[in-house]
Amino acid sequence: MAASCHDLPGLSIAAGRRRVVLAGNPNVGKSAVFFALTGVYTNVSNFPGTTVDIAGGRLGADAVVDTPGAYGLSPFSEDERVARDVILTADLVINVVDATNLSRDLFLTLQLIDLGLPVVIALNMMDQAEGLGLQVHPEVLGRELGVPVVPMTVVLGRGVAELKAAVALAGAACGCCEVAARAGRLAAEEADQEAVYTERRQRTEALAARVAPVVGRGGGLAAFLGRATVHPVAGPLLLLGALAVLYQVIGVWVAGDLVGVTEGRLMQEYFAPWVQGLAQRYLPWDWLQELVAGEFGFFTQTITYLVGLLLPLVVAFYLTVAVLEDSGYLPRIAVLVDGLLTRVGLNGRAVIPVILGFGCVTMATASTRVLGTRRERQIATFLLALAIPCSAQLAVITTMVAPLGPGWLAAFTLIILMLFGLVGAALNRVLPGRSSDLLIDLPPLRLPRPGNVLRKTAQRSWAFLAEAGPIFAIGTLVVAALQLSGLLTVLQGLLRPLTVGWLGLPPEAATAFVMGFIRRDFGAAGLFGLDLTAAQTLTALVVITLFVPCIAALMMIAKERGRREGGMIWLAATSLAFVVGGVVYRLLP
Amino acid sequence: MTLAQVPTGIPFTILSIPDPLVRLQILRVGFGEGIRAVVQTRVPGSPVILRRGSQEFALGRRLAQAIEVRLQPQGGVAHGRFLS
Repeated sequence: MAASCHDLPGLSIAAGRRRVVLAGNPNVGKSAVFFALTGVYTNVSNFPGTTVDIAGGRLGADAVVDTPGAYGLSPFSEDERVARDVILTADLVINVVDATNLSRDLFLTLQLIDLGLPVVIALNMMDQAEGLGLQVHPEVLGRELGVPVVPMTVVLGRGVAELKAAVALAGAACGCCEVAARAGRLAAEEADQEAVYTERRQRTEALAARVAPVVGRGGGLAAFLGRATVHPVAGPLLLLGALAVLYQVIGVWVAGDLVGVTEGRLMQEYFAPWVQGLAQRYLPWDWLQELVAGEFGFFTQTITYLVGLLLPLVVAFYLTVAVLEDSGYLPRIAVLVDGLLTRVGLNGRAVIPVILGFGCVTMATASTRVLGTRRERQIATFLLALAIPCSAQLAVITTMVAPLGPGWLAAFTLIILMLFGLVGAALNRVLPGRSSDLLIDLPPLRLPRPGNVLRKTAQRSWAFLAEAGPIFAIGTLVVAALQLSGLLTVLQGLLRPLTVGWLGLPPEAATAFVMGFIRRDFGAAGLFGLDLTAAQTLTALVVITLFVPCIAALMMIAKERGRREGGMIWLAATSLAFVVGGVVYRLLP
Repeated sequence: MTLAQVPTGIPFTILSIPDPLVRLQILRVGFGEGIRAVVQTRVPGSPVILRRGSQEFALGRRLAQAIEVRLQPQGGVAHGRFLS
């Protein structure tokens, strides 16, 4: 439970301001309501140890706080614990409810009221309800529950003024004074959870039936597509089509063309020389100039990498995920891949880290927080580090393998896939405990709303870059130091016998591998310069893909899983990389 | 029979969900013991998709195999307070 009532991590709410907290199920438009009320998301702070962001803003004299979507206030997941902690301290709760899903959403509503929280209900998505043929009666809801109910369609701007008015009129309870009492009621509930929940479910059903007595039938294109996307044959075909589009948009345009501009021209031609000029003029010593603005200079590298390479990719991938989420397609993809993922101890939810992994493994590792159990997070983190190639990696793989012909590309893909499967299955066998099963809502398919999508993308990209920025900076500092001190060359020397003797590669490959650890694309560039046979190319690419991606990813892994586990993952991945590489070399003609 | 065995399109009622945590989660989102639903999609090895009114929900196959259900005959009408 919240330690100090007045301080929510990251947000400081001045005493005397009324704390208005938004609560509601996932996918009901809560953050859209938040945005409509506060106008601009001021503080978006990361709740420690979670993907969970709580956003704070202002509405007149009130402080408004958004919470993660939750089906209830019991601690089944991190999202819910955070939501619960914030909601219990509220002076007023705005419960956003999906008018098309009353029997689901009103469960939380009843729980909030049962706990004694003052509630205003924002009955959202009234337009969709109409479209589905539902007849929803907000006045019945208000009468039955004794709380203000504001019918809305926030994405069209309807009901926003009325909601603001209702909030202004609502009284001010002292949330912080009541926290103990509310927590007490919640604890009492949890002691007898089964009975309480069953009874509440019955009341919810009864209430929903009175508020929306006619249950309409969803038909039309959305429903048809909804069925097609999870159909055993049509589903995978549509998915392949979607992947092809994604590959073109992200793989070719963003990773290729856009990054060519941002990193190639903007950074290399303008930014880096400019910074170097400044360093030469203002910094006293040569080595300091190198450290800050040299080829591996801390400043030049970090900014180039973050802004030139990473930013376009991070934005593109988060945009993709936001579009997939907002359209309702993402849970359907999870359904399609669930069968495969359960074999490696994960479930459909892991599709998010996997998708993000093709952008940047560091970003994907951070996103493993959405997974249900620690075991799944461990498995996903390891598999991401081992077998998922990030964009930088993919670019190199395609350039180096493509000229060799489709046979080699197929061999490469097969090797990596096999490892993914075998290692995943092994981890699933060996790790204690049980992974969670897929349990998700499938909202109706709809066209993604640009405002929603852009807002989520901006929020998440910013949160990630703010979190990862320091990590990349430290990483490049370490590398710059290693390079200056000559340790990098020593490392490469040590690795040489292994690369030549065991892997059958030229000695310069050792350099490429070490560089690859620093920045994956450097490693690739190093390999590209060498004159390798087809077999050697395959071996080198397998090794470089299987290693833990890069120093930034390693640091993120250490952050997420702790230093001990992180170390083990690194050791295991590196060993596997070399072992498999050697085996591949010996098996090839 | 278990949820994993239910053919598509035939209404059924959930009888029991052995795992208490899962039972609570399912109760919360509107499916639960006593609630009537229909299997929307069923593919071997894949999740089972349930439909209830306009709400669709997917459950992993392993979970579905642990849930006991009873089929409601097609012509049967469920009276009472539960929506179908």
